[in-house]
Amino acid sequence: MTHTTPRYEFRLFGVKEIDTFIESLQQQGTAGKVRHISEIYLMTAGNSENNIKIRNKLLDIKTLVRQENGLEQWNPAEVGTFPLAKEKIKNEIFPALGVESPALDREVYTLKQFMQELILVDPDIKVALTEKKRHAYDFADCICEYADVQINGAFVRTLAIESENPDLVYNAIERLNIGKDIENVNYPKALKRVLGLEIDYDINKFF
Amino acid sequence: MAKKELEIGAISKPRFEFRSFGQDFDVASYLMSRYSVPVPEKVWERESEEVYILSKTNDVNNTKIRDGKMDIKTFVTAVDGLEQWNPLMKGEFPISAEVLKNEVYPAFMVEVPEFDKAEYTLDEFFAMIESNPDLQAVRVRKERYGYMVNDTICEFADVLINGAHVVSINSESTELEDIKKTMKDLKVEDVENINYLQAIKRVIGWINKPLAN
Repeated sequence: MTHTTPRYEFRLFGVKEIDTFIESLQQQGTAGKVRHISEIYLMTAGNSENNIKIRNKLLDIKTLVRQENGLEQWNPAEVGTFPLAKEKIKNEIFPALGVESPALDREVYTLKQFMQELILVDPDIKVALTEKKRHAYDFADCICEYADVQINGAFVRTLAIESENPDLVYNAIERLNIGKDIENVNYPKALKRVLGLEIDYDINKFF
Repeated sequence: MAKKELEIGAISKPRFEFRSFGQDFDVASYLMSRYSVPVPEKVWERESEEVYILSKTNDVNNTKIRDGKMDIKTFVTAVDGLEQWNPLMKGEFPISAEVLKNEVYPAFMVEVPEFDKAEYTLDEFFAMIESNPDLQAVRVRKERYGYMVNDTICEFADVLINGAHVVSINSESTELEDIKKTMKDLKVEDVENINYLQAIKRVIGWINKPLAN
């Protein structure tokens, strides 16, 4: 595995209300690259600490290191590029998913074999296909972005502020007028809500 | 014999329906607004918040709850790709164990649980849904814009499925040919017919198929 320094992160998701914060970022920040990215997220109900995704056949797992005063610190680690050996799948991927590894008949799995034979047939694992248009920004000495995201074809927007220094993240949050009542929602949590893997107690507000 | 004109919101014989979901129906919705005859003000814009109950075991019964009332429709037939659904039951919360046992759970096509009470509140019903891995409650918020094209009831809708946005268009009528003409006029002849159940199951990852666009 390769490792980089974990950053503190604040992220929110929305459809309409988030636009005010994005406009503020656009006005105050310096725009960087725009990237179109397709990713496959692997989701299970019991897992909230590991963010498991595949991009261009590269599977990486971000692990939640700590939650501190409303911020989260994630440690990114590359597991490897498909085709992947069964030991990696059994010893790293399934433990991160929090479900028991099935019997692995092959020594090595291509991405297609992995998805068709191990993931899509497992009732405990859900797949979120995401298409992201990510707009990078430099703002308040933080790495920021907003992104238009399709999750299995349904649209949400997200805004994120990241830095190795948590105080810089707090400062950026304040300058974007993001209220203290706004929840920090990471990707796995947002995906789990759309997929219905996380119980939404807000459901009762409709009645 | 002149065909009877459809009245929006009125109960009529079972209608056939074309519906689809995706991210971009700008052309179709523009054409819908231009071809439409004037419609009653009450259907210009409608907002609703509903909960759909999805069952892994079937795609033929569509259960939703709105304003504390449960409504189940059942699939009847498909002709030329257009679907016909009939009302199966309507109920109100609190709902009796008898109705749950004899009508609702059979529609879910899952094992019927033990009922230890005579009736159940909505919260209690949701708790039962949560405890069954084959069932899932999904929040759906709709903003619907009503039109009438070629004597078919049409709508364009902004829909949030568990908070994520999709767009839906539809045309429904008792007359198949009127829907087909409307699909042609709206340039959606080649667009896949995707009903609410299918769309929700795709978004929540129960069916690994894309939406129409």
